[in-house]
Amino acid sequence: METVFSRFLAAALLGIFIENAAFERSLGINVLLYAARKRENLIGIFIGVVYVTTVSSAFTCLTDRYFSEWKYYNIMIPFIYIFIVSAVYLLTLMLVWRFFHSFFKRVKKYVHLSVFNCAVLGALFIQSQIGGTFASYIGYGLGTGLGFLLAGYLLHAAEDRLNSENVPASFRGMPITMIYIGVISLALSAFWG
Amino acid sequence: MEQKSNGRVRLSNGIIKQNMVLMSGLFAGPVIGAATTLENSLVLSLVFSLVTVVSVGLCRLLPKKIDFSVRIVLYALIASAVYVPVMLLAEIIFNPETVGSITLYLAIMVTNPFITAKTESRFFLRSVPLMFKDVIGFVLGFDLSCILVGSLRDILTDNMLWNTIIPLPFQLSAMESVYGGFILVGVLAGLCRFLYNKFEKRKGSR
Repeated sequence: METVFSRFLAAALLGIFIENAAFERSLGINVLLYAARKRENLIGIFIGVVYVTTVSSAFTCLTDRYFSEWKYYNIMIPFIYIFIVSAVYLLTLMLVWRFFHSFFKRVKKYVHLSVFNCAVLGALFIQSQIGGTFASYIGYGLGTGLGFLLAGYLLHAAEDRLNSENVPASFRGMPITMIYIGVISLALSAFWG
Repeated sequence: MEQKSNGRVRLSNGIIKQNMVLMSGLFAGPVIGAATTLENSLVLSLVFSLVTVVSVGLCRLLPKKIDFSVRIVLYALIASAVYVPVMLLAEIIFNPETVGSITLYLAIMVTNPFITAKTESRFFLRSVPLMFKDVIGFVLGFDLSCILVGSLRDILTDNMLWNTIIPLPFQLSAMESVYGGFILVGVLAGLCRFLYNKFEKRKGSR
């Protein structure tokens, strides 16, 4: 039990800090830029990312275990993973529609953004390359989602300054945000070595 | 005549004004993460172009009466099915080792925002010929930015462009890293916006 938990925790920490999807792999930047604009978007989208990466990891662990010997598995990974993510997405959406109808109406317009994005698919793909036990798959899925939330929060916190008039007009918004993410990424790389 | 000028405007929109890497940053991730050399950027451009153009074309054939929540799933599945032959082609054209080293960034092309977001909000609102013109404009914009970033990083990191030596008095090995990519794309985006605004102002005053 202790080993399972330590593997889960190690993989989660890996996903949050060392292999952070946004800062270390530049995944899901479009979702990050969109979500960081408003606090409501941020929370809603990141709950979606955390949920989908965690639940899908459980299934990708099984496909990796039983089909990885197949000659064309690597090239088929996006199709298999998208199939898994889609099944999780549709089943969850049906459950939410059935039991929380008003909530469903509220999230329907942007829920797909938190599911079909580069961070989710990229996280599942990285975990497949790293390999590991069931616990580490789940841990890494959860860690990626939380790491993405951390990145979103850091971006949201600096949003006003990055768009302020102190920044030259041409660099205001996206260009300075990229440089800002680059500096955080540099700091994290230096910290973890 | 009117349609012709419309088409020209749309192409330049995707290439310059709404460039998804250097102007809006909506699909800068793979460029930052994988376009570290000219060869890598050519692989990225080929896979991105084929996956996006073919997938958007096929997704257009889906009936509109299917609910959006299901349609978006079908878009992603179609793109990931298109990805298989495109990857086989990329492995024939380029060095399989180069393709293998950036597989992560090639795989995520199937959920790029052109397929998962722009299809509904932009491309499918137009007639088929104009839609393709629009898509090709955006794809060219991505490809050109990707090749620009890849070439610059190749030169700055190794003082080489493909196999040609470019003699520079310094080397910036940090440009190969993800943070180097973020900073370079940020600086290039700022410069592009500066030049674009200058050009627009001059056009306006004329």
